[in-house]
Amino acid sequence: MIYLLSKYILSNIEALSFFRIVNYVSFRSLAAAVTSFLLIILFGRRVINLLFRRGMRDSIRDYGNLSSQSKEGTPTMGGIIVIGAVLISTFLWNDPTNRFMHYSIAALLWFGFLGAIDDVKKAKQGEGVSQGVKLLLQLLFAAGFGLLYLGPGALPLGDVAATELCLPFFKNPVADIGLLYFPFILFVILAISNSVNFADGLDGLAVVPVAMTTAVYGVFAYIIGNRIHAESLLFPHFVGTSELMILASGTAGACIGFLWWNSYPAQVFLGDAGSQALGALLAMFAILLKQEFLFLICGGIFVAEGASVLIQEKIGINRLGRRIFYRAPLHHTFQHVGLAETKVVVRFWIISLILALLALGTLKIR
Amino acid sequence: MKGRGKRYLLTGGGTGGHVYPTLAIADRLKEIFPEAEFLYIGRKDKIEADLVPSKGYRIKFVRSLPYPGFHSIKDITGFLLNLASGVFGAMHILLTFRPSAVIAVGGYVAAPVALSCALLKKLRVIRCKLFLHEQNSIPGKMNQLCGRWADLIGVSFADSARFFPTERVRHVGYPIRREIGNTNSGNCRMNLGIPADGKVVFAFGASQGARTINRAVALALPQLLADESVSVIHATGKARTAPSGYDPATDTDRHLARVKIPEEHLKRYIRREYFHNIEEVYSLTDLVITRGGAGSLAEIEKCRLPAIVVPKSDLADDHQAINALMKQDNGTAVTLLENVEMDLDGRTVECVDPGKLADLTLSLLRDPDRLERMKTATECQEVSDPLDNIVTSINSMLDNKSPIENIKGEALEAGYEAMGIETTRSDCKTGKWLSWAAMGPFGLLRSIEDQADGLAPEDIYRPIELEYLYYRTRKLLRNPKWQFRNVGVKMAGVLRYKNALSDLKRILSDKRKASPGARLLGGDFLQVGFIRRNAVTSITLIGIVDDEIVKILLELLNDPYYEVRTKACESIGHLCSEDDQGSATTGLESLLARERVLEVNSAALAALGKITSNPASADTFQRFLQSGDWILREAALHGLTSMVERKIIKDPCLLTNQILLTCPQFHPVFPLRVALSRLYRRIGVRSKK
Repeated sequence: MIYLLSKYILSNIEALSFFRIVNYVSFRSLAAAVTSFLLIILFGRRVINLLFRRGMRDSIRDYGNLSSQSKEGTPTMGGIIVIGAVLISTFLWNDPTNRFMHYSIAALLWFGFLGAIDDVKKAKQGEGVSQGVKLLLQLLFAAGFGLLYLGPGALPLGDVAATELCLPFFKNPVADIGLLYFPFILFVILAISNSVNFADGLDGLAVVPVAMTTAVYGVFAYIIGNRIHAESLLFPHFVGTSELMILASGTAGACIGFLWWNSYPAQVFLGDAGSQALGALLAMFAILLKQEFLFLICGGIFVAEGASVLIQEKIGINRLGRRIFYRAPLHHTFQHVGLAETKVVVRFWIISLILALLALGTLKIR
Repeated sequence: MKGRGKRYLLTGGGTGGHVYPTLAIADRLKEIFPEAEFLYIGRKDKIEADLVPSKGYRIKFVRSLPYPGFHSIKDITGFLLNLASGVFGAMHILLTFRPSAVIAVGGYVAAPVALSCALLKKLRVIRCKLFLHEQNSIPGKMNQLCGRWADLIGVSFADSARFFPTERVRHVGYPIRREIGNTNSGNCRMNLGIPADGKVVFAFGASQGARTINRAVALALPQLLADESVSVIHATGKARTAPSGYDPATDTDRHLARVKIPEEHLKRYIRREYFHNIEEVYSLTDLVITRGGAGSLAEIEKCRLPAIVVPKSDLADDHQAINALMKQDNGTAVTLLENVEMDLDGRTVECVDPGKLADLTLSLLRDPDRLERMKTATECQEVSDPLDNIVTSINSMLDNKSPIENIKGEALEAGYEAMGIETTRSDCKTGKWLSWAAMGPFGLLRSIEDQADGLAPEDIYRPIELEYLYYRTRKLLRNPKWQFRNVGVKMAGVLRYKNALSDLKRILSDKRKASPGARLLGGDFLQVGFIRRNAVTSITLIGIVDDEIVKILLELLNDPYYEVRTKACESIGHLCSEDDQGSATTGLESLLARERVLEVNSAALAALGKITSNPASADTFQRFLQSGDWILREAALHGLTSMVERKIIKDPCLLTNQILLTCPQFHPVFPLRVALSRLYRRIGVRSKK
């Protein structure tokens, strides 16, 4: 909104030429981060109270440890705070005509909505949406997006074809996998959104790594969207992805703002609404910037959490009839061997920080 | 004239159990309305294809398959394709025949007919009424579905009315031939050569023969015939070219050859494949041994015969077991549930213990009072002529009159009271079975666990209910799929089922290797980790110890799966009393010397603290006080405390400055919660834990 306003002002009112600053992506992304952060700090308390009064309270899930029991009744579905803050800051600072933005916001809303339904059902009826239905609805979005993405002329990807695969450490696309890119998109969206959901198990465990991962993708979006930087760092140049940087920094700001309330002992949980929406957003960054494999590095925490659940459930419990890890997702394993929740969370943060720095390291090593 | 020119479309088939009642209804309708037209819809390769034309009815065929359940995509698609083709076939027949009423008597053949009838009615293409008859206590899936569109539903068991819309369901009873129960024995007794004054036991299974009954009767014969007054009539059933490959005649011969019966006793054993004059045999019988099919049960009820029912297991919704247990609950029969045994070829076979069958039979025959009570109980179960009910219902449905009133209900309870019979049955009690039977193993386990809530199973369930649960457990324990076997193992523990101990021991000593693929991924034995772990837990719950169990538990300390070792430690701590610990203590100590997994070590330390009587064990604990893991330090401290409490050591020389007391764990409690619980204590409310 402010972006459009300043454009109008600049072309009509000579005297207010200092509005030129709004044209700079770096300024707008900083502003977006501050906006979403402040929104959550200022209005978080009210939304949490509202959620609590509306009966959105967490019920005991038996994790077999003491600390999870005392969390009964904590307000949940706090993800709507994050989604709201991201939407508002985006609305204020982004170019509303940018195509990359549309896809990302659509993913955020769709997955946020699905998660919110799940949260409400869990709180009111004790049981959420069934696994199959959830997966189907997620697939529906992923398939729709996949069709649009691979369709003719959907996005300004420059010299790169939509079906080409880019890898970290390689300056040119490695291979054109053709229509296989479609199932690849489905896999990326489902895997990332669900593994962020798995990671959201302890106070503050999901939001900080999400903030770091979005920050990394924000940097990549800025570089890929800027012709000079893209050329100097040997990236393909996509026109318009720098708008994604504004979205990314808005999201990171919102995550840190949410940590204000969500840090141990949590006053509000992210809920499926938040974790799935944030996961879907990360997936969109990864696909739109063609940096899917970067997620293996910068989202390493989520990869480990998701993989541990998958291996434990599908191979161990369903097929072999034994546990492979002590507990899954991974953070419960550490709790199981006697680490306090806060210890586990902070150690995960440290690891995700290291991974984020490593991911930024790949910028130069190409 | 009423019924002139009426056209009746009959359907129902697959097994004799569906075809016979359908034909009985048709016969009765023909008797009342000789001008009515009939058409039968069945499946080409099933029993109705021969039977129906031989009774003088026209038959047409459609395709249909039984509902396979959601197990494989291939089965489901095959089923749906067949159903669709069946529906189109049935539509064609409906449109050409234009019936005034469709009478569907269950069986999967009826499904496409009922579906297409409902569909055509919705489209207002035809105007006909749909009558559905359900024979079993628990309606089949197809019948439950079709019940939504039927104009009227007749049920054989009053209790099954709850599966259908109340305003359209009537309890009509099971249609059986009129001769049954109204025939004298005539000279049948003489023809069969049965002594005039003896007691007669009549054992029969299905028309294809019931393997369980045939084998058990053959093996029980020496015991039964040892009583001079007992004669046994045995209908083995005819061998059909069934895929089961069971041939009643040769199989029974083989089993008879295994037992020794004196020649003069064998005179009182009459064996046939099949009795065409079954009504005459009924009339001279004192006690029946039979399957739990609704048809057989209705027949013997009509003849007021006490019965031992051996229901066939593994049927849809376990309906035979429920039929039989309902009968036992009414006091009209005794149920003998099947066991699962290993065959000589290593396959699992259902069976009942012949000794148990013989004992039960003889004890019933020697207790005339009890037999009399069972007979009296059948009287108040009886429904006035079921065929008449059905025909009247169908016709009043066609005339748009309100059908006959529900017969069951209060009148029945009053009947019980008038006869001075104590009824144990009530809706909620039978309801429990009905819901159990329809549950899969996982649902059943969950419901039992929910009910348990720390109470002894004997306090929650009636003996007859426990018997049913035990029977389900026995079957699950022998199931070839580990997921189901695992449920059986868990159920044995939750139900404290003592007879399952031998099975649990067998599972734990079974060291057959898993498939190479599974081992590659980390599997070990065919009895997978969860099963072994849960078997140990169940043994602990059942709480009976003998030397063999101790030996097995000590061996399990070497199990490759850590959870099994943990549970074995816990179990040893729980089961091994302080006296005979000699081996258990050394077992645990040697485990502690080599074990690397935290969970196991901590469980072993706890167990050792409970059972040791050797002061030297204190050294083991001392060693763990230096451990890098605080959980082990804590467990060692608890172990030492326990040893001090039990006065095995007086004073552990603790060097407190040598114990690392910091640990990366704490248990925060919200101060608000403390304040709340203080308030609760003041106002005398016990807070939730």
